[in-house]
Formats: sequence, C-alpha cells, structure tokens
Amino acid sequence: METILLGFSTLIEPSVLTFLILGVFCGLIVGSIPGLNENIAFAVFIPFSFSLSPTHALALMVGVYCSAAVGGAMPAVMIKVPGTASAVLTSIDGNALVRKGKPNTALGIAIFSSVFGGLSSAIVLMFFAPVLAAVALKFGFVENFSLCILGLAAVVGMLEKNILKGILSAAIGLFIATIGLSLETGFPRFTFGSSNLYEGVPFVPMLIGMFGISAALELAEEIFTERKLNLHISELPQIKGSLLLPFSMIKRLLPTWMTSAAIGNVVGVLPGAGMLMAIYIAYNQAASRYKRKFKETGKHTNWGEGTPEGIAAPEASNNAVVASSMVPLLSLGIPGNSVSALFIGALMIHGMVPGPLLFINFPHIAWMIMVSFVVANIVMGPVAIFVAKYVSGMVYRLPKQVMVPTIALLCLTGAYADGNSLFNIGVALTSGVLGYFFVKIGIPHAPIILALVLGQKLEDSLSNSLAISHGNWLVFFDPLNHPISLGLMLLSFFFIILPLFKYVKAMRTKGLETG
Amino acid sequence: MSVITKTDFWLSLLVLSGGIWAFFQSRLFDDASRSYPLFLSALFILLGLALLFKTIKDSDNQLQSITYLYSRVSGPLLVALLLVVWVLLLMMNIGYLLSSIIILLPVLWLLGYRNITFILIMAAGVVAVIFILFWILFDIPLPLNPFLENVLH
Repeated sequence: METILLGFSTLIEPSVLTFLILGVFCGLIVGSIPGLNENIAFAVFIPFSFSLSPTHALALMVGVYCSAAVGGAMPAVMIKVPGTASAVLTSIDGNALVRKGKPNTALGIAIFSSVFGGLSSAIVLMFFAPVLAAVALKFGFVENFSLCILGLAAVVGMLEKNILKGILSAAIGLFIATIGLSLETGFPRFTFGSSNLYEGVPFVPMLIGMFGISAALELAEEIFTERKLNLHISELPQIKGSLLLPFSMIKRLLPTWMTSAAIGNVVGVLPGAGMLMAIYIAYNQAASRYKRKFKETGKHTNWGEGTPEGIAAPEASNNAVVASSMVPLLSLGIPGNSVSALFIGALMIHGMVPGPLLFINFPHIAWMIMVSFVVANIVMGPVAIFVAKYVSGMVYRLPKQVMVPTIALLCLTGAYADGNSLFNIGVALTSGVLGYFFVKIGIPHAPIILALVLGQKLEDSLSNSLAISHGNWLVFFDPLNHPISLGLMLLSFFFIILPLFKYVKAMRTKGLETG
Repeated sequence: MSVITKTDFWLSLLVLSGGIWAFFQSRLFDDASRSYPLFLSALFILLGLALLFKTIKDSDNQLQSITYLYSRVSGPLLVALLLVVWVLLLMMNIGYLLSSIIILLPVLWLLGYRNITFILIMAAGVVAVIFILFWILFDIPLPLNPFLENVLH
C-alpha cells in the first residue's frame, strides 16, 4: 500500500498529471489518424523526452500508450478505416451500427469497453509486476540466460506461420547486439574501424528509424498505390447528444467485457503476442457466445452487422493488452511488445534500466508508471468522449502527403538530438529503410527489437554461466541447483516446438490432400 | 514460375552469404570474444539453407515475386533516397533549415502535390515548426549553416 501511495504522490504533482492527460489527448489524436499508431508517436516523442524530467516523460508516454487504441477505434467506427491495426475488427460491427443511424451507441460502446479493458490490465500490472520482480531479483546468470531464451522463444513461437523468418529476425537482432567492443575483452567486433560503433549501434536512433522512418515509408507506399482511392469522408455521420451507455447495455456487455479483458490480459503478459492476437481470440470467443445465446430468439442482429458485442470484444481486449504488456518489461526487463520496447528507450535516456532493479533503485518511477496506467484509463473515458464529439472528425481529414515528410523529418531530427551526431541520422535512416524492407519481405520487427534488448544480457549471462559451471551446458537444465532455469527452458522448448509441430502436421495434411 | 524470381530465394542467399562473411570475420576476433558471434554466424548459415530449401520446395506457391516487391517499394525508395541526399547536404554544412526545405520540395511533389506555391509554403512551414520545437522549445541545437549560426549567436 505504501508503495502505491508513493506512486500516487509522484503522479499527483500537477505538472506530471497534466502531462498524463496531455498524453491521453495526444494518443487519441494519433490513434484517430489512419496510418499512425503509438509506435510512431513514441518514435517521434522519444527525442523530446531528453528535455523533460523522467516523471513527465513517462507520464506522457503512458497516456499516449493507453489511449492510442481507443483513438484508432474512432475512424474504424465512423468511416470504417481503422486508425490503428488493433481496431480492424471494431470497424466491422462498429461501422455497421453507424450505418444503422446509431453512431453514439457505437462510439459509446467502443469507449466504455476500452476503459474497462484498460482498467483491468492496469490492475493486473499493479499486482503482478512487483511480485514477478521480487522473484526475478533472486535470478543469477543461469536463470537470466534461460529467461532471455524464454523471451525470444515466446516471441518467435507466436509467429506460427512464419517461424523461420521469426528466428531469422531474432538472429539479426542478436547479431546487431554483438556490434561494438566485446564485453569480456574489449575487442572491437564488426565495427569496421569506426569509433562511432565502439559502444554498439546507438539504440534510440535505431528504434526511431525502425518504427518512425519505416512507418513513414509505408505511408508513402499507401499514397503511391492507393492514390486513386478516395474516401468520401465528407459524409461523416453526425454525433449529437450523449455517448454514455444506458444501464441495460452495460449489463448486457459486462460478460463480454470480462471475458475479453481476461483474454487481453493473458495475451498481453506473453512477450511478443500483441494486440492483434488478443482481438482475434476475443472476437471469435464473443461471436460463438453471441450465436449460442441469441440463436433461439431470432430477434437479434446477425453477427458482423452491428452487434454491440462485436465492438465490445475487440476494444476491451486490445486495451487489456496495454498495461499487461508492461508486466514482463517492468518485472523482468523483457519488453512485452514493440511499444514497451520503446519505453526502454525513454527509460535509458534518463539512465534507468527496466527490470527488477527499477523497483529498488527508482521505486517512485516504477510505481508511478503503474499508477499512471490506472489514472490514464480513468481519465481516458471523458477525454475520449470529448475527442470523439469535437476533434476526431477534423483529424481523419489530415492528408497523408503532409504526414510522410513531417514524420520523417521529426524522426531524423530526433535521432540527431540523441548525441548531436550526424552518424545517428545515418543509423536511423538505415534502420528505417531496412525495417521497411523487413516488413515487405515478411520479417517481423518484434523479435529483432527483443533480441536487441536482450542480446548483451544473453551473451553476458551465457559466458558467465559457462564459466561458473566449467563449460557444462547442462547447467541450464539442472533440476537441483537451478530448478527455475529448468522450468524456463522447458517453457521455451514448448513455445518453439508447439508451432513447429503444428506446421509439420499442417504440411502432412496438405500433402495427403494433394496427393 | 522460376524460383529465382522469388524474393525469399534472394533473401536466403543474402542470409547465407552474410552468415559466411560473419563466420570468417568472427575468426579474426580474440578467443574470448569470438565464440558467441561464431555461433550466431553458424545460425545464419543454417537459416539461409533452411530458407533456401523451403523456397525451392514452395516455389510453385504464392511466394512474393521480385517484380511485385519492386512495384510496391519503388516509390517509397525514392523518398528514402531524397532523405539520403538530405543527410549528404547536412554533411556538406548546408545547414538544417536550408537542406530540409530543399529536400521537402521534391518529397511533397513526389507524393502528389503539384501546386508550387503550396509546396513551398508547406515545406517551409513543416521545417519551421520542427526547428522551433527542437531549437527553442527543447533547447536542442541543430546543425546550422555557418552564416546562419553567426546570425543566431
């Protein structure tokens, strides 16, 4: 309780609270712009955090992270163009309900569901992160190595259909992490004689490029390929009156909210799983439940044609992923998804390293982050209603042609600001172009980022573990001295083997069918 | 369709050759620093071979072709190329403001705007806002052209 109060006392400072609310507002705006998401917002924002105190910077980032998904739901519901990828399913029933003349109900459901999901995950974060962190403090080199392997295995394993490219992506990240002076002897590795690379590839510019520049290039691609596609957003439906939901609707949606939020929380805690997996599971679960419940009556709308549950399920689940994805980051130092990886950049700028030691060295920051998620989700409801009614309509109309150069210039200038170095601009631009190509050829970003974060820790803990055990690789599977490591290794094995098993099974079935 | 028209085929060759290069580079490191990069380069070689095998096996399926990829990325690559030119201009001490405006003009034109006055106003506006944000609001010095630097200081 004392620690929660510590978090509140840090957050309650008027300027910090103002930054949190500003973050919520910015997140809603960013999310409302089709093509932009919280990754881009963070990539653009990270350089600005140099000039802010850590509390202000992190409060702003938490606000943006919490509300971007709700912002994404607004154009999804109103014009059937998802503002963020996590709103792709919301657009089906949401827009169908709008076309039936009920935009208020559709937006109200999206906002209420998001607040419910977000609050549930904030509570999960507050209770699980400190407990896990306390356990993680007992970890030695052996356990840390197994933990890194588990993080990588979970991320790669989630990419069931693309496991080979997932492993390749992780290997690229691990390789980039080896660039620089060797941790053990200081021998320069893959530096090509450049002193700029002695401390490794600069992490923040690389993140900025990988997310910001590659997103700008993707937006440019959209402009080039869809120039002829004109959306008639001049015919926006009018939002008049209240967006509050009647009690009967809240009562009806409560089971969907609870189930979807639970799904989102579980998926969020798993490193690399992400919002898309959560929304699809929650949506399918809600669909089967809806069909089962209303099959006999025959009086209700068909699934996908404007059912309230079809909006509530994806919105509750995607917001439930938000705070719960911070559980592995804050407690173990392993980012749950790309956005939480970007948090590492912001923390590093202020000399902090996420993980169990954050709770010891900077308890006010660790607890402030967790409390901020609760407050941001509470604030998000009224701010989202305001934005939906008065601001978002203007935001959908922002031309992408202006956004591309603005994002690119902001990101590259931001990369320069990290050390006032032109070399950093080169890093951001190179990683941006590479990141864009990776997307095009199906190499996912998440494993690269995770491997970059874990790379040095992995090598360090591996070499130390082997030194302690006199080169015995079985030390990671020792049930007597390192049972936690054994458990983590078995779990990693499970994450990798299960999708491989499914893949082989699918190939066999395909082989039997074709001949 | 021939396997060499597939992007995954070229990717596998790239990974394979990258792995071989990294393997030989790693052998030049001292004993304590080489084992981990050697392991990673071996992993790259294995992944390259696995991807090559998979591409040859699935070559009849809907794998992405080089021509399709080129049709998608050629436009954005032009934008990226202009950004490279921007970096070169910065390295030549042209200064942040001027080089940014010079580059935004063709970028905006490339993205579809044709009204020169609008492009000029937009480019100058975007650059001015970003400059004010970094230089004045966040007190982060940006690379200026020597003449302007003298004026500002």
